[in-house]
Amino acid sequence: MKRRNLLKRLAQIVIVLFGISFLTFCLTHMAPGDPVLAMYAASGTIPSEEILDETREALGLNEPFLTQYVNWLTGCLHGDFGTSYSYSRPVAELLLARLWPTLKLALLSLALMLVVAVPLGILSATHRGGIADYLVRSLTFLGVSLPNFWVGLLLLYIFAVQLKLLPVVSAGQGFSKMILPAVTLAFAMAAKYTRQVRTAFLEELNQDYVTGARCRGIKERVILWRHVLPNSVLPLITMLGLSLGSLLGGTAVVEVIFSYPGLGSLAVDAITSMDYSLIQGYVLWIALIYMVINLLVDISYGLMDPRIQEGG
Amino acid sequence: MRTQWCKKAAAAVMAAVMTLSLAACGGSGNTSQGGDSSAADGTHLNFSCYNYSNSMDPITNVNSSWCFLRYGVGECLFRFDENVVVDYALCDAYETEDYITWTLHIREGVQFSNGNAVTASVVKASLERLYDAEANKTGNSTPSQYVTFSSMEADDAAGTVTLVCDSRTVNLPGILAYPWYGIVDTSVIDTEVIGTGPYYVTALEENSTIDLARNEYYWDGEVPYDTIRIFLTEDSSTKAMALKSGDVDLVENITTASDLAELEADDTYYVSTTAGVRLGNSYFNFNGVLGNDALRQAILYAIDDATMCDITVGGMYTAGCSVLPSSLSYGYDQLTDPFAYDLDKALETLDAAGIVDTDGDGYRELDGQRINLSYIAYTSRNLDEFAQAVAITLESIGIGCTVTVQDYDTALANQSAGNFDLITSNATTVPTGDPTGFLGNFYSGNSGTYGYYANDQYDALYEQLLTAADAGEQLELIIQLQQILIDDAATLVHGYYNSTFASRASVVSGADIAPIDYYWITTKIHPAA
Amino acid sequence: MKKAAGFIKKNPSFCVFAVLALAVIAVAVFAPALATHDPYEAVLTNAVQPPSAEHWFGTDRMGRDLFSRVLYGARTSLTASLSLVCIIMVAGTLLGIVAGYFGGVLDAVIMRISDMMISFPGMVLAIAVAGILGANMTNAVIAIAIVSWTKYARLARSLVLKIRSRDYIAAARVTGSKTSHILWKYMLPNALPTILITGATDIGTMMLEIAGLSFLGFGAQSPTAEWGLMLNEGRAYMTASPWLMVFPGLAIFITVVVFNLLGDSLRDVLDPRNE
Repeated sequence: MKRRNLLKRLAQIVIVLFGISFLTFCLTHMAPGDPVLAMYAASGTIPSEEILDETREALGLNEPFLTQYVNWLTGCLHGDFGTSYSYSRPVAELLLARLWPTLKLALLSLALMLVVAVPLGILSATHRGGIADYLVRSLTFLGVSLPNFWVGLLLLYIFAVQLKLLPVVSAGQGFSKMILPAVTLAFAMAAKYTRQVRTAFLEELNQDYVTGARCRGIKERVILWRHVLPNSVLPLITMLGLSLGSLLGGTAVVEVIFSYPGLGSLAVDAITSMDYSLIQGYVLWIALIYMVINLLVDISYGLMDPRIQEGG
Repeated sequence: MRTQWCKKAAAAVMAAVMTLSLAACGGSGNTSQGGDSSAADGTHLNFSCYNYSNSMDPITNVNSSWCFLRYGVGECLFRFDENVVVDYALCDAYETEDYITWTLHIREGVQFSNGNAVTASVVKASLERLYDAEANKTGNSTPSQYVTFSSMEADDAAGTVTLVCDSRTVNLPGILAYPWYGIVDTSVIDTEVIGTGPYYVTALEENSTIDLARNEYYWDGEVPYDTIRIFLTEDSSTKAMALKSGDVDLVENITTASDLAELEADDTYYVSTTAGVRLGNSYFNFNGVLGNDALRQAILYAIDDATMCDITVGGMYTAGCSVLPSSLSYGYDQLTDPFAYDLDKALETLDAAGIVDTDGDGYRELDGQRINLSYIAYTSRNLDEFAQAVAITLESIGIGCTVTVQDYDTALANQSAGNFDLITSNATTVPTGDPTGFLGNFYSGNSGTYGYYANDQYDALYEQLLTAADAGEQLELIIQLQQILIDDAATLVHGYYNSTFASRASVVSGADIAPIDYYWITTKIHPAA
Repeated sequence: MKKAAGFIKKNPSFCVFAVLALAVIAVAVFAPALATHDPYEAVLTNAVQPPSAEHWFGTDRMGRDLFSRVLYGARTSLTASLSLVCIIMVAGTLLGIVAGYFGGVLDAVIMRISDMMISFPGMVLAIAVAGILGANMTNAVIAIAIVSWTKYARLARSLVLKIRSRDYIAAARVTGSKTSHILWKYMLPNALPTILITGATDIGTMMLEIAGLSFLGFGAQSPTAEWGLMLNEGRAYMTASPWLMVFPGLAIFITVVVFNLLGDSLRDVLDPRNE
């Protein structure tokens, strides 16, 4: 990727982050309920009106909206995302502690998904119109149509309760705690990816060079594994980046079902207890991580794909 | 050619799936082995419970102080035995002549889990901190509800703390056994909450897990487990599933009736249940629309307590009409309930009071305002199910009712602030060994945080109870107070809660739940032989 | 009549799925007639009963008839997801056409906002929005709409850009056609087929997202009959009363499958590129 492009992307990230920070700040301001009261509520105390007002003054909540926003933003730029009401700990610390578990879960589910999706996608593409294709396509259809929380509940019921193979409560267990949540997450994704792999493979199979190679009598297997596979899998990398990003934010439902202590369940807790600084920090962090991952993916994509390098 | 490729691919897919499932099995196998090996290294207990508070500091609020005791981290000067009788704990002797000045001797040689000695001055500092926190509003615990002191003196040489009460307090040991009065090491309280219990906290992940380890300095006998992990679990069925799957060895209060029935029927599990001393009720807010007598009476008529206790919550509660449980000896049989379940009477009462639907929207109006009750509930101990069942019933007789389920801390704050029409509650009625304190919730001096109930006659009788010394007179007063509350439709009584502990019999022994459930993790719970 | 027969012959799968989708919609519309019980009538004494002749899907913990509740759930889910798709389709398309046709500052602002939404995992913001605005069905719809309209805006914009410089548009402009006329007569019809296909395929996804929010407690609130919420309520009784989990789940699944299939086959009908 050219330096100019890179700079442009970085500038874009900054603008988008700025917008998102403003949006979340507005939202928390529009929210019904008094954040100061919520803050005291979280510690189980209802103070007098004077104390409430003092606290508002001390927290700068009596300032005009824009001043508050600028103050908050300045804090964020210095790494200070405020203090969570309900946990009475710095937001950054809380988020950091939950980031790794969620990242681990996301990576594992991506790996699981690839193991299933790539072979099935290829199978389906190479047997286009055949029984295998038909079966795989029906499966993917089921995959995208099943609610993931339902799948999660069913898996929990079958594997943890009936078969007792895996833990019910994911908090504080070893590797095995991640299997069911990861499988649940991988389930819907695998369906989506299988379709993608199939489409990409079919497109690649229709390329002239494949026909040419066939005419030259090169074995079908060689064509598939040496040429078609690498070319068609490459675009998946971009998608994987996007998926990793949305997984970091999209694991909430699954984390709640399996009591998995990650970012998603933290966010749900934050929202139910109206912990505004934690919500703001969370949204901002996720956006940042998401965009950085996408940037990295684009850069690595440029490095890996010879065609893009030559062109650029 | 084509079919062969198909077979191969199918085989490849199968292989992939099998590898995956093997990996899955392998994963679980490893953990269970891991669990075994850690058991070989030392004794370990996995315990699952509802998370009532993220704090374990007794000053924060009621629940945090309970967690302090329940997790086996802290102790009080006194404690209750299995028969709800006060026993010595950190205090091993006391003297009092007039029930005003009490001299408590602090047990010698007791150490906090960090090795610091429990001296008379530390005990004094710990109690002072509790009262200071209440006075300057840094905590929501209200120790002055039970007793206030005009002076506290510590004599480290004699090992005694002398407490001078503001009024005659016969039941001071019982009061000091209440979790608020748990003793903390004040020298380190700014960084951590250290008590004298059999275990201490080594790691805490909020809303997720708490790790405990043996307190090497424990004073009262051997501590059975090297380490304990507490899993904080929101819903009851997850707790039950975790027990069944072997993830945990011990759980408190399975509140899904079906799960409990299953556990009780299975020899693999040991289920300990006690007769309820906890009241499940919903407070009415008298400062709102529920200040209307007819409306409250109609609600009591409309609610089918027996069905809700037996079926909706599957027998987790025993139905009743008074605020004091029928299992306790406070004259339940002598009470009469004029508002027993009778749906027709509910409708009659509403119609007679002019609370009718005038604009035809299906909801009744009071003073021209459509009634829409705000009902706050929290998910603990089936309370949300009661709330929903009540709301559904009320809607069916034209009283609008919206249930909001909140976490406990938020609900408690809303209750204190009076932001509710109805709010669920589940509390021990004999927190200090007698019901006087609990009846005080309806005394107009205290009722501000319980819906502003006020009745002069009640207040007078209650003040009389506070000074009554004769047991017969006390009982007579307590019965009268209960009857007034019933006649005034002062609160919506759901029933009396039966506490339970369920454990895996092959792994854990001695897991009996105490009638007063300030105590969950104790030294009585130990590995099965 | 002949035309219709020809259409059916040409697009058999579309017709089958359209009929199925109509059947689902009919269930929602005629739920009061089809339901065997009042879905909100709680007979507390009849709680958590297994499926029987009286209660085909059993009863929930408040003693309400699950079959009737599942039928009424179709109303909630369909109303919410159809209106959601309409909102994002209309709003997104209009903004996209405006951005594409006028360009300049307007384009930049609209597209930067859409960048913001697209470079961000949608569900997170939706949960945050739903949580902050307060949990109910309308807010859940608003929340998902806020993060989902961008797809349509981008699509409409790119379609408009493709034809903006064509001769007949220039001709229309020169002959003094009003801008609104151009937008309405040329731009919209051009973008519509693609937008409709996207909309149709989105219905299933949106249904899942709404149910997901309800499941987390940020959507429909008790006692509303909504599938996601019903699953959440039934979760606690999973081991002893699996029907509480099975039927609402199946209802979501079947409905989503039908609408997904319909969307796919609609693409085959409308998309000229398709063979």
